[in-house]
Amino acid sequence: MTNPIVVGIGDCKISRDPDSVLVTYALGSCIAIMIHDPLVQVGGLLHLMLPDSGTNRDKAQEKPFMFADTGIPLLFQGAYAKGANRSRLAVSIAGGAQMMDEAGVFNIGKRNYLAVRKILWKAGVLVQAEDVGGVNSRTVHFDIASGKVSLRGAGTPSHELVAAKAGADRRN
Amino acid sequence: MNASELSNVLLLSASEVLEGMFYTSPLGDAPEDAPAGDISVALSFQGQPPGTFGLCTSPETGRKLAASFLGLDEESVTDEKNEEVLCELANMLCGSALSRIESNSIFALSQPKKEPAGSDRAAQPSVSRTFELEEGFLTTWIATENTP
Amino acid sequence: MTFNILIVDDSPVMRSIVRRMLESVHAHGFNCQEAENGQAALDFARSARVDLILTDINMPVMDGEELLRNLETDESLQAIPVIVVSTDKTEGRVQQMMKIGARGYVRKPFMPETLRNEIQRVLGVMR
Repeated sequence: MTNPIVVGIGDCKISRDPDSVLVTYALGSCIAIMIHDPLVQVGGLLHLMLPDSGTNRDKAQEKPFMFADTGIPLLFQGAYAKGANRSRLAVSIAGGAQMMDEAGVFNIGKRNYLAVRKILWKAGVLVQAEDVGGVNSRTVHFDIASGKVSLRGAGTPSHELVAAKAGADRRN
Repeated sequence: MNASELSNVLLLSASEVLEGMFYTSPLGDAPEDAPAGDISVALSFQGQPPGTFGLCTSPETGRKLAASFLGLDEESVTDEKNEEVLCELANMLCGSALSRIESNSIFALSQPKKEPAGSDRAAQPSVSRTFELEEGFLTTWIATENTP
Repeated sequence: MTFNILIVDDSPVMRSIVRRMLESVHAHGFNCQEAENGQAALDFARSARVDLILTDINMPVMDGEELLRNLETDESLQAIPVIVVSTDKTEGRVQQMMKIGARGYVRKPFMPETLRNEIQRVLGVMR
């Protein structure tokens, strides 16, 4: 039995339950960052909305997962606290689309993506796979046992962003 | 290539290089009264066509860009590193621009050098463009031997 | 397995960026050495084991093109794979460098993952 754990907008969940699947719906300009340690089967998913908390410190105190700069360190710390090891982590990114309702303003999806990239580079973290940009919304399913990440776009069939680690995905 | 095409090349190369390794993007053209930067870096290129390429920005903007590029805090960026990063930025912008101007030619680029303050390149006609970034303003310019 | 990688670039910041990128790849040990031009690279490669060379093209003293030609004609060095890392992205240049022996080509600007993937492809190692 799989146990779906839904990650809301501006939220983050860390799991070490190998029967769980982290799910986040309808990423538009938002970005989801998935990190996974295959050895201890710990995974975390952060669904962030904005690049920088600098303009909104109070909000960042209350909801740090809304912002890339406050959310990403907490995502990694959360996974380390559950036993993940930095050198084994596989990191993937999805989202950052340019949504229709943002016509006329600077593309927030791209800004989110650049902010994420900048933070990861500063931390010396390389990305295993990414599916970003474009104009479509994406839904993410992240299997904690195998590390497999599947994406589903609006009106398109699901595809694999990160393959399951050999032997670990019992649902295939 | 006419002036408006070259101007577009400057935008495309700035977007490519800034997004690729500096984690920022041109927000648009700077307003007319944007302050001119006081660090200038330039290089020349040989090939078809030959010419010169350069950039200009403020030390503060340069420092922010250098910090992003190097993955460091701004405080850790020395003046020397700042200058080296701006030289590398000019090198990449020029390479990106030239591949859009003439993709089959082979170009030899000189080492980018910081230009002395107040150096006058007005003797040569060039196409220039100033971009507004989150970090401040960045001007890039290109002069080819057949610049109109 | 540890790979000895020689980073050849006249720009110290570019060398430090490439070094930092390689140090972020945990899957393999990459032991990085640096040289500031083609001549320094040749001297180093003749004195120590080098498994891969990453070289810029435009450099003083000896450029990347001449470095490649020198490596190709030196029996003890011709087996070392070379990846060109350059701002020069014109098709003419890429073809020229591949023709004289480059095994890979990474165009600046590049993301750390692009460099990692090209290195893994050329060295024949996977994550």
